[in-house]
Amino acid sequence: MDYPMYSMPHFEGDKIPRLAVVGIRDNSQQIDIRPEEIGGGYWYFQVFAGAATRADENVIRDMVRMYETRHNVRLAALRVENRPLLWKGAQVKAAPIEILRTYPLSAAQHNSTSP
Amino acid sequence: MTRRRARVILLVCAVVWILFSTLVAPRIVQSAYDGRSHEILNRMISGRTAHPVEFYLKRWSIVSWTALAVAMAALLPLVLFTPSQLSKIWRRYWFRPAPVVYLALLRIIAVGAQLIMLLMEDGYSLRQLAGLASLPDSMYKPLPALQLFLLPFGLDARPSFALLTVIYWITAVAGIGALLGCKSRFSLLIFAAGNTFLQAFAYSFGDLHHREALMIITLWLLALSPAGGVLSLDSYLARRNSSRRRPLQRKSILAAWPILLVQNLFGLVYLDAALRKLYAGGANWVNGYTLQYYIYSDASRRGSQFGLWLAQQHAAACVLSWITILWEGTFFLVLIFPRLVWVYIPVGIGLHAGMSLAGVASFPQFMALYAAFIPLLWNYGGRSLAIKCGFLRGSLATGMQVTDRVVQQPVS
Repeated sequence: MDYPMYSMPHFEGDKIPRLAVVGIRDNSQQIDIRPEEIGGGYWYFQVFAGAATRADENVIRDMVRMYETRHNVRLAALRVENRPLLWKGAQVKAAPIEILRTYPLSAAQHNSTSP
Repeated sequence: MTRRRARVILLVCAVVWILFSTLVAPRIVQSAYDGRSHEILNRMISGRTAHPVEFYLKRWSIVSWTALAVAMAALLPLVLFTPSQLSKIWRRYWFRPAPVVYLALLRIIAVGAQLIMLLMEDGYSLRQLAGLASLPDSMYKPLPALQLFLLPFGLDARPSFALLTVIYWITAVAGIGALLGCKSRFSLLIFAAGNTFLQAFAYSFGDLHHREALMIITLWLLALSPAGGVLSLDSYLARRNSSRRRPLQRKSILAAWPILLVQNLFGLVYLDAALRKLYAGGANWVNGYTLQYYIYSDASRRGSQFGLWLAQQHAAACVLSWITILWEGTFFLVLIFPRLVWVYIPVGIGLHAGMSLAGVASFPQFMALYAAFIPLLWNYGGRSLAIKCGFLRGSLATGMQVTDRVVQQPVS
């Protein structure tokens, strides 16, 4: 098994990636889907964010259905963002947000019982 | 064929392999990357668009040197020793008579630590299992270990939360039994199997880590050993009706191998960690920024104030990087020079505890499994220290007189 924990070297000025998944409602309202709202927590949120970036249709469909049922909302799209931190000297600053993927949700990907 | 001839042949093969892998193979990799080699070789290079040719050359270099190291490790003993000598060395190393008490201590500390984590740490709690059970089927990719448990129900069978709850509590009860040494072998087997099942389930959703691996392996080793032979309810009940006394002096030829195996696994795990860092980053890994980056990244996520402070100390990060890489890369020396255990184990505890405080990945299992080094700590300094401090008089629990010269064996 290849498990490169902490093995990659880094340098001053490197960005620390932070993945975020934004749910977009029909009325354009944007909701951050937080790691604690995904079963299992942070690491499983990373798996979900990775699946959304790869446009893994099955995982996105199931997770959206689960989220919509739990929060009683309907999502029109998902957007995966990287909100990196810029590491410079002893200071850390927020770097510009990078949009990795916007994934429109078709009707079939929704929970039919959600509003 | 004489062994001398076999040695010469092995040496020639090794030299030829080194020449081939450093002078000829890189050209083949280059031409396969360019699509100019044999069709089979060309097809072996996938993902040309994602990686430059250097990526494949580096991979080849690792594969070829690893193959050489494994082949030499397997074949050298065969050409250096006769089968009867090898068998003797094998038995003398793994199956020397050793006090069962060390194994019992490892059982108590390892099982106790795992049980505490199972019952008290959020990451292993029923709540966490409930969260995982709620994840969709599309994320579920069962690990082979889990498939093995669920084989009668099909390769893709998924346990329900109700089943997970039952297994969780059975595992906890078995853990208490294993800790107390009540029906030790059975309790240890159920505890090992239960933990394997639960952990394999947790890692069947695309997320995989390694901090539990050594603990789970150790639990299985304990289950296959006489770890409940002393310091257990079983031994107490057996002794009640027996004339045998001084059970702590009991020795067994099956008491050393699990401890030695855990010690060797530690050496391998840490060496692998150091080599991977050096392979991926070389000298850049100890530039200080690498460690600062990882500490900040993890500390900010976990909210560790100490970690955030430490991430800003460049000089400290440089020193800690060097200590980490040297300590990991040379930990195996403890197996060769046992007195070094007094340096490596305290440094290890310091590093793991520091990582936990800084919010970087914590390895409480590893710290508990350092109990496998108790025999070394005791026999190579601990005993003398105990006598000097006046804690010991007369004979020891291991049956050796305190005035005895320490036997130069890691576990006896």
